Amino acid sequence: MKIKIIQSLLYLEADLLDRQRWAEWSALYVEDCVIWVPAWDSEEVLVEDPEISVNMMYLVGKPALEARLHRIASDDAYASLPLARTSHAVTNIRVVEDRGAEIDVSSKFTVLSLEPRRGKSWRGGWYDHTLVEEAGTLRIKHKKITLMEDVIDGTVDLYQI
Amino acid sequence: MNIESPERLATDMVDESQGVFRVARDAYTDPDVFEAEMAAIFEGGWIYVCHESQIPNHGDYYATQAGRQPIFLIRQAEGGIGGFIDACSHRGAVLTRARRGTMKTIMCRFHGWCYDTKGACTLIKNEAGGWPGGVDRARFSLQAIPKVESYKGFVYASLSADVPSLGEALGESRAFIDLVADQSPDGMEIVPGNQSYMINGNWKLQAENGVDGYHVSTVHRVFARAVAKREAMGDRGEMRKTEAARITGEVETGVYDLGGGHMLLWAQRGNPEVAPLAEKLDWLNQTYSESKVDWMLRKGRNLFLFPNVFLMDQSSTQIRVIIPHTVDRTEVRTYCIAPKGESRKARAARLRKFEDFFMVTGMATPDDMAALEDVQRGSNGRLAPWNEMDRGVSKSIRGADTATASLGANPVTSNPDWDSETLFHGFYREWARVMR
Repeated sequence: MKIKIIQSLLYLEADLLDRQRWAEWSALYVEDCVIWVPAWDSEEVLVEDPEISVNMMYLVGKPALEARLHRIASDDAYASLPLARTSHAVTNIRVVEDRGAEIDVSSKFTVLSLEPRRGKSWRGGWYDHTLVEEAGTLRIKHKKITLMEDVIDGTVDLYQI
Repeated sequence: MNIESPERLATDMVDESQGVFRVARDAYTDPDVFEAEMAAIFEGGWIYVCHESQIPNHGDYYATQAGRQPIFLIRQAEGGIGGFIDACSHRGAVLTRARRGTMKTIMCRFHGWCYDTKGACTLIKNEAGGWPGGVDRARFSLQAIPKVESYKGFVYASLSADVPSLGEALGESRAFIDLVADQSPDGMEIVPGNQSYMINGNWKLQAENGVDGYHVSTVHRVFARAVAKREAMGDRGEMRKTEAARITGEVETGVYDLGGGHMLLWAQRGNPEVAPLAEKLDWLNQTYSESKVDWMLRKGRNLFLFPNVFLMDQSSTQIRVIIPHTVDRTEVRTYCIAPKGESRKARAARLRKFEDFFMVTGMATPDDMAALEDVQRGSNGRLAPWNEMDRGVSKSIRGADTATASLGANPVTSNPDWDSETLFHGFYREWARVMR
């Protein structure tokens, strides 16, 4: 049963991003959340320690998320005028470890992104979520996004991964 | 295009005959000019390749392109750096399997030929089977790059032997390279993790963009607001606070034509006490002149070294390398350069600011790239052929201003406003000179 709830959460997260419902998407995350998109250090190796490595994104705490969303929704960011259309597909959802208070979940994602300036791009990677229960609802505490791309070609903003 | 030669065309594209400095937009879109640039500039003179700390030990290599030609640099046993065309002497296969790696023996994965780090061919698979009388393997040495030199850890190569020394070529930019290279008693290092990205734009647009101050208050306005919102929500105390005074136009700024095509853009830091380098203030004051410390700590700088690299030290510290692929397709490789021995706290702050501003997945650089790509598209409107780059000419002075004089640097021109375009004159004059 739990896996169904977990899947629903991940599908909801993806759908809110696609529908550009930023506030509702942000509400899925707890206050001391982390979104980590590591950079590749070489063709085969990701960076390990986000604190002291270059990361594609390392958003620690809700204010960091809100800063990105402010920019996306601002109608003033050159690269995001107009916004890309996205369609996220989240699959292969698996519970890796259930520690009761926290659950680690692994999944795969692909995103079709239609950027007005660049056209169609197809990107993908892995999600590693850590979910926690807060006031009876499952929410996101930690999300690691392993993006397969290392040579970025076009815009890769938070709503496009 | 009706032109006699690309070289002549390049000269015609930089025009000062009408009393105004203008550059033809064809410079960004003409494929014949691009081919000429590759031959004359990227394959005909010094280009930045990598930092010494990226190839520290015997066999460590770094692969890139010099113009259209694949090359690699490799650390040799006695500590020297060899440079070679990245092609097996047998049938031309690229020898490097990755951008960086280690190979004390260079082995071609096609037919198994081997070379040492000096480029000598040390093994031909089944040599006797191919040449029963033996063969002089010296004929099959890797093609060496004629010039490889390093300045303060920044390693350059030239595919042409007919170049001045690297020091001469860098000229007045050296005082500004020093401001980055001299930030630690133990030297500088490249932090793990890097990013490359592709731009649908001409390489010269990236060269301009990195030292263009005029766009900052427009394009990065949203960056300043996003960061302010984050801090208002209680994030980023102390050293992790982002300095954004240059974006809101509250501070002194300036630009220099340093000669040789090199350019510098600077802005006074609004809150230098939150710079990661600030933890070293005592050591800086003991080691360097007041002027140098002021430049290192209190002025954010973007230094462009002709033709292909930026050393940026403003919100964070970055090496940004430009690798042209075609006339409207450019690869950029970015690295965070940092002082060895920096505290973990300062390192983390440096990196968070790097991610904020310099990463194409961050909140500033993608906006620059979008603007740049729009210029590329707009430049195809050949009915409107010229860019005038004369903003701020009346404020320009010949030679050094007080700030650079005290640093011992002598620019061609100084301008007390980073909205000015006078620094581009130096870039395009050098460009036209090399292309002739």
